Amino acid sequence: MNKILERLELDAGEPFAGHKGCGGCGGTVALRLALKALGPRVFVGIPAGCMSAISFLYPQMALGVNAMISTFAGTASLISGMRAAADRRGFGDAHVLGFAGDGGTADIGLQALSGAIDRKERVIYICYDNEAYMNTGVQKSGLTPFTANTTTSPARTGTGNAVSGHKKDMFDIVVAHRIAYAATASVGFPQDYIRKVQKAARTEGTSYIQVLAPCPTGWGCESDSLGELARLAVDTGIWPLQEYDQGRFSLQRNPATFKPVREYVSAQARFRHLGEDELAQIEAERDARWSNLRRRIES
Amino acid sequence: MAGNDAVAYAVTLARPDVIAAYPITPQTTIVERLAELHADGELDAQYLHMDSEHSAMSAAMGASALGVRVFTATSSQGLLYMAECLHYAAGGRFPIVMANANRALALPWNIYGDQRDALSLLDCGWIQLYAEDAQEAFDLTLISFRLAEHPQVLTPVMLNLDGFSLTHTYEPVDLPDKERVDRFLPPVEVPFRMDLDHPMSLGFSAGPRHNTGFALKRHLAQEKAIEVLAQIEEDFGREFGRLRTGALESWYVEDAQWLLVTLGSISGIAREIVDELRRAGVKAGVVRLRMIRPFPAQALRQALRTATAVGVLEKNISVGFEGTLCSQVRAALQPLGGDSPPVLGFCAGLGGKNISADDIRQIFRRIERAQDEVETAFGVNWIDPGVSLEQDP
Amino acid sequence: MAEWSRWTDPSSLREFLPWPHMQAGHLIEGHAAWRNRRPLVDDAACKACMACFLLCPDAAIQAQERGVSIDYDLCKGCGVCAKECRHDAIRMEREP
Repeated sequence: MNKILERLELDAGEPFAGHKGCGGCGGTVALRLALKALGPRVFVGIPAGCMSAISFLYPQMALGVNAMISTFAGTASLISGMRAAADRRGFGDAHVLGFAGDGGTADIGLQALSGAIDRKERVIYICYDNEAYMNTGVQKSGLTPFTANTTTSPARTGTGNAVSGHKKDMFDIVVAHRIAYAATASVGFPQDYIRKVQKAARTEGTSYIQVLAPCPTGWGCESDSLGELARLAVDTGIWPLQEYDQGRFSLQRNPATFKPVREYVSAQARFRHLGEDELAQIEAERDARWSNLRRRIES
Repeated sequence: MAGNDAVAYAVTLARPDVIAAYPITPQTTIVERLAELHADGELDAQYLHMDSEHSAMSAAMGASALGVRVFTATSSQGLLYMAECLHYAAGGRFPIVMANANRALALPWNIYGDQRDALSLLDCGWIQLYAEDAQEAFDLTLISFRLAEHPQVLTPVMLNLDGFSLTHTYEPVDLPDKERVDRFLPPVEVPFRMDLDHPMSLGFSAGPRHNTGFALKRHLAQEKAIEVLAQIEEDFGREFGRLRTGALESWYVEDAQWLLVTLGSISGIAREIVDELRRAGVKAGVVRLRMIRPFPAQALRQALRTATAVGVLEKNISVGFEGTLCSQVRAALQPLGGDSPPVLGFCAGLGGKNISADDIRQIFRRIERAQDEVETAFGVNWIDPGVSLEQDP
Repeated sequence: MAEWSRWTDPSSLREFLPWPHMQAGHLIEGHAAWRNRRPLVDDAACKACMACFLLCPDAAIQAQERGVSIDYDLCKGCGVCAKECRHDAIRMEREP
């Protein structure tokens, strides 16, 4: 067994293979690594969206662990039921995982997620965030970032024509529920992500992880760039890596200076229309956000 | 005890593993009674305080996926809120049992009993049963679990109770002891459940090529439920000493000319009026439908075989056409061809309006006149709508 | 490492699944036909750092003790492995 994989404590099995995902899909990396971190004793709920659409096409079943497609709005509720049943059947040691996209988490799935955290369900909820409703063809979601072009928020060149709003701060929303454990992650930092999934697995209570998962189809980039873009999002400060663990905030990366946002957006067609004013606005908002984040970890 | 209490006690005796609870009038006292029984240690189950009805049915499916026994309850707006999940659960063949307190649907807002909620969802794939009184509500709860979980059926069951007139009406109910119930209702065994030794992919996608096969399989399985219900009720009769009559219950149909088809608790008054008419020499009869999905078409044709005219009474209207149940009955009689009697639809009791003995007498008089007034025999017969039907031209 | 099953469509209701559930991990076809490029590993240059293994979306890279190998039935030719490799040990070539 490879020493690096031993150190990471990853299961040797590949319970996620043979799916119909686009080549270079960030979401599939996130699901694959989560399942390797959790091992085979797991019950999974995946809502309507990319991950389910590519994994359960009769007769090809790409998931080798117990998994079920949930209704779009009901992932967190489905897994609450699974947890209750698993405990009744003596599978208390097994993990229960919900794996939903940004739409299925921050929009249609928000009610169910809020309820599950409120009930302190012993489940792991991972949101793979590709920042739009990708499976239906790239429509704006509550987690579409400011200025991103989508089919329902088409942008035009120049300032002021992009209509998409700001990302809902899901991390802060779940923290406001006093959740046991929450984290943000990126597939560009797989070891940090794996460690966070393992922490969630040990948590007595509800865990929420939001992992940035680039989508070449929807973001308009090359199929080989998931790692590069997922790292740039973090290195430009656009996507902070943070944790909330038993009431304490921490930042996994806290650089003194950020890479220019232009490096991140220039490789993505969904940002092609951005003017200098919009880039400046994005960087100003990033700076304001980071001073809050830094203040929060000190207190 | 009230109809809702009867359901709660039956559920407790059924040894459920998971209760997915969410309140809505007039089912709320079911989940409240279950909460009390749970807090007192009499109900050994996981009690989930769900955040909505859609979430309650989603949780029920998650639990059912691991093969445990599940119960939930709802009504009207909540039933419709979980509508997508109803189709989902039925297509997924999850043997969930749900009590539905029949209540009016908004708009306008109304919390009282009528049958529009469940009747608007006949196509969702669930078996639909209707109780008349509190004892039957108790009995049918136990029967529903066995029916849903039967290997040839494996279909979720919706047990309907008339809102307020059954859910909140107090009647004596015989509660059997646990040993009897355990004999009648063994532990659940779901054939496709998730296991750690044999992991499953549940709820997959089936495209144009395969989709119809799945629809066919569950259609045939649901049709089987008519026969299976009869078998289960025979067992029930042997164990508990109360005979139940399967998909429908007949009252004076052997030679009846004027028959009324009913649903739910109104049937008691209908039978009293039939007794009155019979004493006056009128050959009236009542057929009470206990199961409307699957629809017992053959049994109904048999029960109505001597009819000169048939009325169908429902607390429902399918806006823009006629009563849903009326359409079902007329379609079931169609194979009789020229011998098929005229079927008149009666809409009464919407929004909790009381249906009186006089209303039933009026209905039977109308049925008797059906042959003479053929041109007005069809369309919707509104019973005591509360206003005259005069309009501006 | 992937296990492949043979499949014939059920022709009668008798063989048809009664419900939309089946065994997990049932694979009948790979995705070699999706490729127009394929990755080639230079074993001498490979340092077994596992960067490519961790980021392969299709579980097409198998970890060995001292390097990696590629399952060309699963590989879609996305190029992430070649991009992620910091040791110039993977290059993408046109699919033959």
